[in-house]
Amino acid sequence: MARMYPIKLTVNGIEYERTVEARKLLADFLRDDLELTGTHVGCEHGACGACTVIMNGQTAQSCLMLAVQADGAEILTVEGLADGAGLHPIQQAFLDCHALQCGFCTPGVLLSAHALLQENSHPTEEEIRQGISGHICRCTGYVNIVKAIQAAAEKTAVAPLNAK
Amino acid sequence: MAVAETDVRAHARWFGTPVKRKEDPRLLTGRGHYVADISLPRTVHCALLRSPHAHARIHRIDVSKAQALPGVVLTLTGEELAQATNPLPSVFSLGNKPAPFLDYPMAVKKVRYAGEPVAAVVATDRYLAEDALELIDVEYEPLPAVTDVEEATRPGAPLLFEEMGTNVTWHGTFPYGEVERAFREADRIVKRRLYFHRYSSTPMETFGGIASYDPPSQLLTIYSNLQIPAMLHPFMSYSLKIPGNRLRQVTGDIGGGFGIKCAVYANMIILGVLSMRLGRPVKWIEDRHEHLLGSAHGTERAAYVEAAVKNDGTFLGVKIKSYDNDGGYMRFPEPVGVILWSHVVQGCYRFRDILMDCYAVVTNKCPVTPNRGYGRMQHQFFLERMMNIVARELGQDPVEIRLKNFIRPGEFPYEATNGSVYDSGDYAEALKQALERIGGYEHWRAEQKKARAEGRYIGIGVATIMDPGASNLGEMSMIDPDIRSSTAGEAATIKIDATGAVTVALGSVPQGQGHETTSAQIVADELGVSVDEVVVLTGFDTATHPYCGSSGTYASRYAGTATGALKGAAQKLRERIFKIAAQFLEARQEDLELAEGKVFVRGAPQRGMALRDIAGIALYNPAALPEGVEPGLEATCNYNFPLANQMDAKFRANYASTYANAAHAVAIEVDVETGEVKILKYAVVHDAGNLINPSIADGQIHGGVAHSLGAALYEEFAYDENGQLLTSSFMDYLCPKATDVPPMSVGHLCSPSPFTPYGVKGMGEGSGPIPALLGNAIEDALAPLGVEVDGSHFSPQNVMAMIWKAKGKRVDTQ
Repeated sequence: MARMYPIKLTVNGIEYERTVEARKLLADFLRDDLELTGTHVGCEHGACGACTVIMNGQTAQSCLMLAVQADGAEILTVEGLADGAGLHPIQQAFLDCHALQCGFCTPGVLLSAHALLQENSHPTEEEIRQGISGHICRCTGYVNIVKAIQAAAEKTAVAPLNAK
Repeated sequence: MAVAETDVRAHARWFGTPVKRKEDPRLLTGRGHYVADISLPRTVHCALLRSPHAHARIHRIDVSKAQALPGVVLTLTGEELAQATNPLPSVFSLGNKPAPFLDYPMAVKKVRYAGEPVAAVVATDRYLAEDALELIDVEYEPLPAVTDVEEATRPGAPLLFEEMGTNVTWHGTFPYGEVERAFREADRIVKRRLYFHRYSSTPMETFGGIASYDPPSQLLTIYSNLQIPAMLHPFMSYSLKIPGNRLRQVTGDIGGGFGIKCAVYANMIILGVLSMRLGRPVKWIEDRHEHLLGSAHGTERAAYVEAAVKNDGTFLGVKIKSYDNDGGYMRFPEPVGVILWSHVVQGCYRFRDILMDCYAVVTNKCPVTPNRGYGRMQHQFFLERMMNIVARELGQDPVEIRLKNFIRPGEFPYEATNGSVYDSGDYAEALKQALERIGGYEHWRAEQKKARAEGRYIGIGVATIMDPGASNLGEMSMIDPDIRSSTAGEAATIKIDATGAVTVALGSVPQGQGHETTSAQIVADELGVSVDEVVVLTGFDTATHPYCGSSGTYASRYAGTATGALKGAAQKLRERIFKIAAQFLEARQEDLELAEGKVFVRGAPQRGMALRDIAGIALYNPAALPEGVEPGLEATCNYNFPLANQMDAKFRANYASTYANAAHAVAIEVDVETGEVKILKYAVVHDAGNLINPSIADGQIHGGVAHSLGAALYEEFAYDENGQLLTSSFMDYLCPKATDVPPMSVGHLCSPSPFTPYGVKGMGEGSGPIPALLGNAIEDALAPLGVEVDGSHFSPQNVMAMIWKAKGKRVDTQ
């Protein structure tokens, strides 16, 4: 039996204590151990951005990290983006602008958009494109994703990161 | 032929409006139902060992060490799988002919492409299963590999299947019109060898599935992201040696398919066998490396193209001899991709004398499968390139030569030379508007002139293409006339329950196309309820959803087929509702109307009954129903496109159902120092008739452009001469990012189909025009250097190679 390591971390405002194998990826830990399947795995080598989460205020690719490295961290996944049952303004903007089709890349893109708007509440189109350039979306050609992030920026003063 | 009698658009509230998608709230909040998200009790996890060699004999597989690893519950070699299953049926089995070779989902005795599965391990978790793969000892005898399609056809080439004596797995010749006369009467015959490269749409969700066998009921349930589960149901049942009613297939949300997920089924056979052996669920989710290496690729084709033309630019005829590189196995639906030009045989043009001479060839590359624009884009790449090549030879303008050759608006419905019935369109207008949208043709010609004076290279490209929808599968008969099929259909069931609520299930298998939303729009209009109140079941289930022979989501088929099924089922319900209400309201049926969840007398809304009251009577008080009215309020329609016919003895049929079209225009600048192609302006004008949901339609166009652009500029499955894939990660296989896709101007024309309910046409694939578009634009930009484009992939190194070749430098091309 592989050696297990205890970790303690906060995900979407809830504190979890678990034991994991050293080699367990953070993405697999979120999906399999915490049953937060909104974080998707698209490439397992940090090239597609589908697994993006926000860790300690910064975007991180959960397929390139081990769960043990997240010990003590505060993580936001797509499930924690909205406050309560409704949609977060960025999610609402994606809905309004038809910024998703198959939806597989969407959770990661939402979190990058969220981080982008935290840093820069009025990004230019170029800044938006740069801000999500770590993501691959194969459905939308990014046209409506860019529109949605613009719409979200116009509509809202985005809630501070991780605020609950 | 007239539009169906009750055209709902007259009183449509939802049809044609940008209704927000029903799918989105769950997908936006991380609560989608993708296959990897499913967890069943007692699930064990599968990993596949894949061949490191492109071509090798397997002398021995020793799994003993893997079996001894704690946590491993089962191993299965290709040989063991072959003993437990029937081979994967080939297209030829549909005509009761033997397959040219035996094909199993894992290698038996020999591997034929790098990445081919050779053994499976099942363990209590995926990490352990992958550990165990490393303990499997395979003794290979490497063999020489062949990767080039034409080389594979030559005598002495390494043979993939020695028993066949050749790598050519299928060959067909299809003459239409009077080809020889056209070539005799031509002023000029223009010939080129053109090549369409290998890439795929690489959906963000890889292949995956869970097979769950229940021993007491002998029921095998497969949850997967296969995009054609109904169509392949009999194939899978045959391979697994279980009756169709003991095999249940379920799909949920699918993270993109684009055709490639037609190939998921082979993997599901492996999972099915493993689960039947273990009596517990077995899960396998492909990783990205596996996907790029060994799932399935889009078709690669080399072709010798000849055009017979008049000096005024009129095309008289075309001959194409083509070689499809099908990879290691010719797996269903191949070799159908080889002849899918049948949907677009003339492109948008009037020439009718055509000879197609088509070869399917196996090589030591990954097998191919449908991919967005399947078979049509390769053909239209050749036609669109030839339009420009001929124009250049004749000193004509590429826009003018298209205008000269287009089918005219007054000629529709236009029966093409192979029997395909082009429904409607105005190709010249689409091209005109596309050019306006990039800022005008003359404007860019002036810019080009200015730029050339400054030593810069601006080019203008156009491509005008057909974007057909809903194959009738009649093209299967082209592979073997003993295969008879004419199914361009879909099935839908609509149920109104005792609360008056409407639930819809259909045979489509959406992968992001928004069928829950568009189906709700149609049903809401037909039944006079709010779109928000209609529930369309997510995904597909062979046990609970209706389906027909061609059900699934592929070939841009939803609009041309599912709308008919939804309308048909709704009409049955409308009729029943009106009969019941007529009796209770003491009114004539023809005076009744459905709106706001009520049936009422037109002009007197107070004389009405709620749908729940009608349902209550139909469900709980059938004795009160008018004579001949069936109890319950549920109806199914199994719809087939009315013009879907069987192929005749001259290889003629209406091979698709709808024939949308599009014109793309682009202005580019080529950096002749680096080979970089920069897009300055991009526009597309698309015509899919009446649009069910304009924002969904726009989204499909955006995605189609991005895919095709990625193919033209970035994406390529490059192999070395030993058959090793050089682009097996997203670090090497480059998908376009937000910084790579240019802003695009999208316009629509509206030429309704006279043959579909609501005048809709299938759309979405977009037929991949950008390799031709950019090829035309690059040749235009680099005309002063004498550059000729014969490929479809314009990476900087390929563009530089073309420039050097034109300059007479020695080039080591790919």
